[in-house]
Amino acid sequence: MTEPILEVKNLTTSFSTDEGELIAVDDVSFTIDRGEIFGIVGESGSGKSVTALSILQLIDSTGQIDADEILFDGEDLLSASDEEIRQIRGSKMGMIFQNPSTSLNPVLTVGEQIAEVVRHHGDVDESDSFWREMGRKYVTGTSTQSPSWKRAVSLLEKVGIPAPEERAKDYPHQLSGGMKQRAMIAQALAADPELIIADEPTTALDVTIEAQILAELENLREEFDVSIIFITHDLGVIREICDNVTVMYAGEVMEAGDVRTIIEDPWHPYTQDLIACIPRLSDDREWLTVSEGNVPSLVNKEPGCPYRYRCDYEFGECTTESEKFAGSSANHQVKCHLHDPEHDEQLATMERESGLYDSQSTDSIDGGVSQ
Amino acid sequence: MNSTIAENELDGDTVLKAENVKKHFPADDSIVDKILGRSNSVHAVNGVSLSLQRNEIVGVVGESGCGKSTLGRTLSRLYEPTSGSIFFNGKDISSLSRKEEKKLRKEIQFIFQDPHSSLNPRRKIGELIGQPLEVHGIATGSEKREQVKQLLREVGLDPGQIDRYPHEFSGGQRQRIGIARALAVKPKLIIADEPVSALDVSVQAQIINLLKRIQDDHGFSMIFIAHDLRVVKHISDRVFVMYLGEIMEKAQTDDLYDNPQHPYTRALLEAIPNIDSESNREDTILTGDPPDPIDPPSGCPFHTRCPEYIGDICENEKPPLEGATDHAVSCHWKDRSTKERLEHAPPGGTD
Repeated sequence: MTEPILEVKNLTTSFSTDEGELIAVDDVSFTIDRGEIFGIVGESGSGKSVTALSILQLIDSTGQIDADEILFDGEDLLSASDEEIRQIRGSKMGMIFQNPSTSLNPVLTVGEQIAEVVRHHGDVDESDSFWREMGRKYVTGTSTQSPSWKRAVSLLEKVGIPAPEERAKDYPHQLSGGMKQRAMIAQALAADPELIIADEPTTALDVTIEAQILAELENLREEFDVSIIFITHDLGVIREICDNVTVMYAGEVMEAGDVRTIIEDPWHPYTQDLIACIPRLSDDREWLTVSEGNVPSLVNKEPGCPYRYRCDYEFGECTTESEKFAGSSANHQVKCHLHDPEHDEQLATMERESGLYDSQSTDSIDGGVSQ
Repeated sequence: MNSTIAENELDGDTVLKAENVKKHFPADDSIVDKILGRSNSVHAVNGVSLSLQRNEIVGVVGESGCGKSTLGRTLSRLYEPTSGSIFFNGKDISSLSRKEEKKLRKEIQFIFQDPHSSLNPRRKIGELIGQPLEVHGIATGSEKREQVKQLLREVGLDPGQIDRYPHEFSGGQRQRIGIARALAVKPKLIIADEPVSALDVSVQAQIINLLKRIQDDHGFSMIFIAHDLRVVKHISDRVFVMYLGEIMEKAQTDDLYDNPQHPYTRALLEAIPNIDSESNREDTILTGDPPDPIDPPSGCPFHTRCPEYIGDICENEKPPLEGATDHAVSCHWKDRSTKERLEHAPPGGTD
């Protein structure tokens, strides 16, 4: 592979609130290669969306982004001016949001919305001045003969919308949830971006439609040669589509590596719990395995591992920050004291006692971590 | 249509029994329709029969727009059925006076999908959970407060949080508040409409275990509506698969998962992301969206997307829901073998 499309080094995003400083993203680093689908997984409040928004610098004015480097296509985004960032958003980086019903403009047809992006960021020879845009949007509509409209229709076709000429003239409410999400994807692709950030793009959809959208994204990766950051809370979806994955909890990276390693040989107790609690068609247990508790408050966070309050392996060391330890495969990393080579003995004891872990995990009765 | 099944289900103590229930909503008519005097309607629920035993949990599964939520609301009489009859505890509830309806509300409770919009943000959770106790004259004052605390304990919340507002809780905790409120009046039937689909996977498991546990403790019947067959499996005794307002297949839970008969059921099962193995399911993905319920397809409603479409019969004739007592399926090609199924290429007309 050539140089990576995106390199994030030691990203920290914090917000000042009345109660104190809220650290939403805490020292996160990752690298995404060209054409890669990169997953970020974690529960609500684990900082996965803020990580993505920090890359695009779409953070509230109360927020503060700190990083050693955010290199996108060789360019450092941290030193870029507002205008340069604005040019990158949309043209080089596209965004797909979770809820297509609230992210599309309800008073414009989907074709109009996609054509607008094409005019702003694509290479069509059409004026995108303010008054021309207003006139097009609210008076005349984009001419169906114009290059931007034609491009919009061809994008809708590419994302698998049947009868795209007709659908382009529809308003968002006339489309089903799955169709709206496809239209969002078409819009993100409009300027032929290098990277698409998809923030829970299938969470609001039915399983059948989710499967369609995942297949579509994989095809588009091939066709447009685009990298994708895929954010979700479902490791099952990660396995379907991603190459590499980062597991986040309370703003921190708990474990990272290639998807197969993370799912088949997870080292961090949090990853293990996330995998264990997914209901499976194949198991006949009466009770599901659960990891009780919630993500802790990120305001005035205490030092140490944030998962220790819910972790079954918690021990003395956990109140101090853990280093990142190398895992079982090339890029596998885990941030947990249990995997400190110096604590081998500790880990051995824990594993010996894992029978105890199975029977004691609250509420899960015959639960336990499948390993 | 399925009288043999219905009769069998009458044995034992049936809590709810619905016969050929339909719910149609008026749709906007176009100018042309108005001139011609036609009127359209959305066929949300189109002739559903089901019965529910005491302490039984029945899962209802289908895609968005298949009418599962409308079915839940019609059965609990939040909607009035367009036609058909609904018996609750042996009494016809298809049409009721206001007074009778209020009494029914105590017996049938609802858990909603979105815990953010179903709790009044201006009221403390103690008031929210206590309100049904007051409305139905069960408890007031300090007695009410005691009961609310007990309910909070039961759903795994700290009774000390009784004077907090909904926004101070996470999504999973809010769903617990919704469950406590439904539980407050000791209902005989709870209808849970997608209670976990808005939650994280990790929290879904917590809520499902909680619902099972309180069902064990209190003994009520439940209709559990969801679009994800994984979720339904763990909680249901029987499962109904719905498509375009009709039941496609119904069976005991184990039987349905081990031996799904309807092509639609199989498609739903195959759509589930599988974490335990690398899948290669490109060719089994169901294409397209469900058709418009204003103008449902003729014959079998699934024929436009069916991978096992066999020809004109699917388009012209609606297959009856029939089969063994506890496993019925609505399909023209039921007796096929796996081999036949895999080798089958649908004749032109579908995609």
